Amino acid sequence: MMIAARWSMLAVASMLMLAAFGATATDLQPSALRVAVTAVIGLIATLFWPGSAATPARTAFRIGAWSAAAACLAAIALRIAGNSGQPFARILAACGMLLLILLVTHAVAAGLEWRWRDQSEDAESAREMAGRAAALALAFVGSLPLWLGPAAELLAGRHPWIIDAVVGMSPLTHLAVASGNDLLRNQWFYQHSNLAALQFSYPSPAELILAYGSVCLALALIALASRGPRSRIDGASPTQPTTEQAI
Amino acid sequence: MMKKFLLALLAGLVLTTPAVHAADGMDPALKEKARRAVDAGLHYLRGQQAPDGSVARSVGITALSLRAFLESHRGYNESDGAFISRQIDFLLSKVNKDGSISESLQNTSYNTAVALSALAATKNPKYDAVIAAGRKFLIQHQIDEAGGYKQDHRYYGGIGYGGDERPDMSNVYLALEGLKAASTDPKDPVWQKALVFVNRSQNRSESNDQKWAANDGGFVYMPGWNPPEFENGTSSYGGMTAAGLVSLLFAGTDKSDPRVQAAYKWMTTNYTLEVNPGTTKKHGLFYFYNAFAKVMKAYGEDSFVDGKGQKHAWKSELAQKLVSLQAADGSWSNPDSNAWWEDKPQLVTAWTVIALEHALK
Repeated sequence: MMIAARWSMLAVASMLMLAAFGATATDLQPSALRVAVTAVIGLIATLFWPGSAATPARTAFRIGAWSAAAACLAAIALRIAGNSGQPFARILAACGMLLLILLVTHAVAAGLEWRWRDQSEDAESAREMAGRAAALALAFVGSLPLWLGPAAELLAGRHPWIIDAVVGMSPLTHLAVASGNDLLRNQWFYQHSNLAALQFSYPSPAELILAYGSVCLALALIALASRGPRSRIDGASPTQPTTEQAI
Repeated sequence: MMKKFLLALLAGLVLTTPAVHAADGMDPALKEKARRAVDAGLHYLRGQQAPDGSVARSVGITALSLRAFLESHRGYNESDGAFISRQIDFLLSKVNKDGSISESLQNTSYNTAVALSALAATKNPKYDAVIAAGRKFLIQHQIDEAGGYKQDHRYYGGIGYGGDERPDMSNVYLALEGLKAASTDPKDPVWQKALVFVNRSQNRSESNDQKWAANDGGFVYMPGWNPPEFENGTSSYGGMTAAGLVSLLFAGTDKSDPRVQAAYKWMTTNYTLEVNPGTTKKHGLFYFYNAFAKVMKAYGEDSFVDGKGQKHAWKSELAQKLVSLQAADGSWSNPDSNAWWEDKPQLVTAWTVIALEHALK
């Protein structure tokens, strides 16, 4: 029930955000629209993180289900908003990348939530804080090319790989690569980021899949290694008393 | 009698030789210096080639390097050796199924355009099929009705870096240069569509339907804005005015056309080789030298009068400037700006050699 409520909130918030975005961004190319929609829904989905379940295995399932639900929502939004300018294969690639990003981000949220529950005893606020922290982290890392760009340019003389690293670490770049969009040369980025006029390379889709696959595998192994019910979760808040029901 | 005739012939030759140089517009000593600079630049580029023939592992830079060799006063061609043929082989190894020629998903349009110009410069019919496929790719890449854009959209007719990216004058000019080198039919709609975008990038309200358009005749980066290096805005500047003017000429616009005349007037009035004209900055300065040499060559005037009433022999002045900026190893790079890769000596050397070659012709 709680998951369904949160999914509805996610859907409504996403549609409102995208409607506001669409009303102000008039020159968005199809590939940029894919980046914008997946980025917006990715951030909101993390913010509405429904919380971890009673066991690591169930939490892993919830991470997968919540991430997939957000990716599906992005696909539906793109299908509605994009008309014929959004080929199915491109939507699939963009939303697939969103799924990978959210799997990792939600795993981080779950980890933070567990840690904070252990410390505070307040399951509700631990969940909220974990969702907010993960969303903030996602926005922070996503905007790396913007705020770390000037430093990267300064250091690039001695370490030419730095610009590629800054661009390549950003999940926004990953969404753009999957969407077939040259992120830094979009009008807004070109006007506001110093990196656009410099030499850089985006990571390839294969490299990204390998990287996310490795991280997901590592997280799954960690979850398996720490298998077993966590006592504190059993005493969770009223909004999350029966995680079994939710799943 | 015979002796007198030979003496007269010799005297005639001696007397006419300076006249030939005067008509050529460049002092022989400067011409020799410029040729040596080209040779040194080509020597530098040759030393930058990887075993696979690539320069900087980039299709774009390799294509520019190849073109610099092929169009030089040395008259290089494929039979001169591996330093030419390996570069061609590298470009051919990067031909993709969609007709593009690119080593990466980035810059596919830019890379394909400069590769077309280089392959066309080989004048080898063996590459006709590759050139035709590249031409088709560039034409399909143009922003038009096929992508859901109507003619009133400010991107209409433009060509961007790759994918469905926003277009700009720089990419449009290179794409048109590639299409022209690839012998694209002058009646192909690609030219007229491109002119819609080109018109919308010119500060000339009579031919530009955009509200921001001023009336100095120069060009901006793309309809409505300039890069942050030039404070965004919509002021005309040299690099784009050269690109815009050469685009007008490539697209078949007559030299007497008011759009061409207005752009030429802006270019000559604001002429300087010290900064990117119209700005106080050195960003994109070598890009400007390259585009300026091409457009002046295409326009066909050896001299002009600037805004201060001073006459300029552009070939000599450009050659002198470029010779003075060459590094000891034969390369060029922009020490004042890293924008648009101008800190990369391989790219800037190829551009500069091509610019010098245009001044020497």
